[in-house]
Amino acid sequence: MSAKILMCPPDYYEIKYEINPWMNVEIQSEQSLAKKQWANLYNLLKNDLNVDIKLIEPKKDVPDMVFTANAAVMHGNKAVISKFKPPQRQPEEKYFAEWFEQQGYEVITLKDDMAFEGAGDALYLGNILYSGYVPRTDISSHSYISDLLKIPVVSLELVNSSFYHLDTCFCPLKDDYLIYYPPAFDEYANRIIETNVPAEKRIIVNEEEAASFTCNAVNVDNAVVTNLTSKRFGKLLAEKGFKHYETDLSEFMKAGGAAKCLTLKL
Amino acid sequence: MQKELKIRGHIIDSLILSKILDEISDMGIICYAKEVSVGQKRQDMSEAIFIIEENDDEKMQKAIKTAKKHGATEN
Repeated sequence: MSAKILMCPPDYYEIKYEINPWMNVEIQSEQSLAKKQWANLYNLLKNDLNVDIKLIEPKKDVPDMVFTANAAVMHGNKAVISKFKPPQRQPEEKYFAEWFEQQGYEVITLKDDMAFEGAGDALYLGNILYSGYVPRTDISSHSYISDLLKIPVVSLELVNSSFYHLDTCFCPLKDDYLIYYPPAFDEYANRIIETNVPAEKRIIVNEEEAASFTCNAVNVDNAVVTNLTSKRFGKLLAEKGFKHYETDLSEFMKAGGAAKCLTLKL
Repeated sequence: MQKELKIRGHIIDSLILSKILDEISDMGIICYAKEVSVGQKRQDMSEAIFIIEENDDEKMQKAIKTAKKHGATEN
């Protein structure tokens, strides 16, 4: 069975506001190039990796809707819809909730005062849901989601504002491998990762690779798709039996997003 | 002055309880666990009640703020 991924075309994508350190309204995205880069990612996933891509219709005035990773966290047929911390992204919630409802998913909403940014801040590794907190997700959402989904949720504190979502610095792969960037986490989170993930399963990126959002990767079977990054990283992946695919996503980096942010595994 | 707070979740696996106790103790404030109830299975959550003792109100508020950042609530 092929992987299913939700994407949103970048029709209205632009740098309209600043809600993370990567965004600068003075440095606009080039729309035609953004569309081309998005299409390249779409085609790579669909044609080369045989992914079943589902599309949600983009809406005006919500330029970051293109980053579907932040729509929800999935658990089987359940979609826990995000409660965005920045007001600028909150209008996206209803569009994503409507889409999941129309597709037959069980839609779960969180309390209004509970910030939680979906698969941007919650990623499965083995049977545990690891969830980032402080910058964009409140830790109170972790126990709430654990109660709702009946799964363990382990909290990891993010301490570097450039890596404001868990998926910017932590990427679980097939067979419980993990790509991550240790300086993005506090010492307790690093200890948790080192305890739970054997050394031979950890793929550590360096500062330069982290800055090109190498951890913001899409994993489909043995394929790992990232923004342009280093040859060293490709070699590290190859040593672990993965095949590296690079695609230029520089226009989306202007908003603090890359391959993973543009996709949501269903 | 004494304040009782509680925390619930996967606080053992997430090292949250030890983080709260460490961070508040590092401020030179007395902080200790009063009751800890550990979940029996992996998916079970744990709960802890802990005490902060501090006579300086400003320092107490700082300690409470630190605890709340990691998910603690007033008991």
